[in-house]
Amino acid sequence: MSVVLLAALGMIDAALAGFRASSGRNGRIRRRAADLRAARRGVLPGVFVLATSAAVALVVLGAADDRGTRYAELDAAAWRMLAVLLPYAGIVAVSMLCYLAGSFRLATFAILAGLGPLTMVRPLLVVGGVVAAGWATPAGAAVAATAGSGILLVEPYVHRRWYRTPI
Amino acid sequence: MSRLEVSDLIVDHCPDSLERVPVARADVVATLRAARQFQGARIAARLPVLDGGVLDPAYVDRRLVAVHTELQRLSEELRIPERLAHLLRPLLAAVRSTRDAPDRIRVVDIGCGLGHVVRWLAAHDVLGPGVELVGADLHAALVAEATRLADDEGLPCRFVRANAFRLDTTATTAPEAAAARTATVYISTGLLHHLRGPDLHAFFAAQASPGTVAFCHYDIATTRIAPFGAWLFHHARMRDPLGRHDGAASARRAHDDTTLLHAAHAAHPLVPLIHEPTGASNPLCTTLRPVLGVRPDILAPLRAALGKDARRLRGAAG
Repeated sequence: MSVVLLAALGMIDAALAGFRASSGRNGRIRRRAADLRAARRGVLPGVFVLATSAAVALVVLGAADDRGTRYAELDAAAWRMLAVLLPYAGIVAVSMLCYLAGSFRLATFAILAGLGPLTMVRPLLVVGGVVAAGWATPAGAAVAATAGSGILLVEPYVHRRWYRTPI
Repeated sequence: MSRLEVSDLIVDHCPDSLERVPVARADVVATLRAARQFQGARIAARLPVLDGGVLDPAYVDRRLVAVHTELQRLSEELRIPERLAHLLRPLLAAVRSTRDAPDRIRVVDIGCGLGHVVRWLAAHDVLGPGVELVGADLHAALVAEATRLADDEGLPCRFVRANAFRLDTTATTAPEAAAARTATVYISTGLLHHLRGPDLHAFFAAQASPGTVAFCHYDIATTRIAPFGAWLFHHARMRDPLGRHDGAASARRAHDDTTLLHAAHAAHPLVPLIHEPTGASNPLCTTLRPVLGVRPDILAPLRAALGKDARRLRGAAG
């Protein structure tokens, strides 16, 4: 369950990272198709990060003397990571709902009090999640560090690959 | 001394001919250092120059277009065009309701940059029939990019070069509209804080022509959280150091309601008003608020068209 939740969180984050990578680069007004394309471009490296993290998890699991204990260790690490990331994701989701469905006054509030500051603290939250997951467990730290660093690289990668200059 | 914005210093034009005037990088750096804006000076010092130390105009143009494209993202997130339309709709309805109602209303966005507001209004067709949308800016590169973006999407609007202090109606009037009885409404977003001292009064005075029925200029609300909010948002959203620097400086340069109302009197006989004054609005819901000017006979129909939103109006007229 923890793996599924983390994977889902990672994919949503990658899609949003793709969208953010394109933001501020396309001055057109009707941009829905372009925004969806940018989100898809974020999902691609997101899948790569997920696959790499899964590979690292399989390696540390395979190298363990007691795979059952190592699996429980990794599962506990994943839940600690989720304990940091899920509240953040929940606040982001509520802010986005207010922004998309609310009046422009509520949308401004959602941006100023939610989505703007939340974007700024996102890297810190991911690092916090990695630290929580890897606390006193080198195996958990290896997997979490791979996933965390990878997810933080999605946006700069998509930006450099497709949106270096205005389009 | 008020904070300076790098983008204001790296481009210069002759006010009469609108010709581009070369800018020496050393002068920009010295000005910023004298203002003790060392980060801005470092940004300016990295700009490429041609022979003689003059800033490379082609590079400056590309950089400003990129910064303005990023800036559009903030305008989108804060729904600035939507806010403007929310006020323009009743304003235009009031203009149309008068006894000598014009055949056409020309909405001119002064200092339009990439014309985001004008293009948004054109794309969403929210102002009703008989409205001509024009974006005016001094900078040729921004006008060219605004035109390219509008053409690319086939939007019914156009962009011209114009000096905000010498608004030339021939430049902003379409040939087919010249014969019709046309009233002008001037708008802007995020322009007023660039104007200091006498320039602010001169800006409003330039709009006091017989054909002007109203103006509606949005700018940063001078709340306590505005400087921090501007810093946070420009650092969270903008990748270009120039845009981040100028964005953070902009909130510190914003004029308070009293200053704007006082300056707007220069557009006599238009009646100056503030909508959503900073003292009576939640700063987390209102980041920009407009100073309005309306012809006296439009004031009553405007209040009627605004409905309960009219209670947010403040100014000489109460």
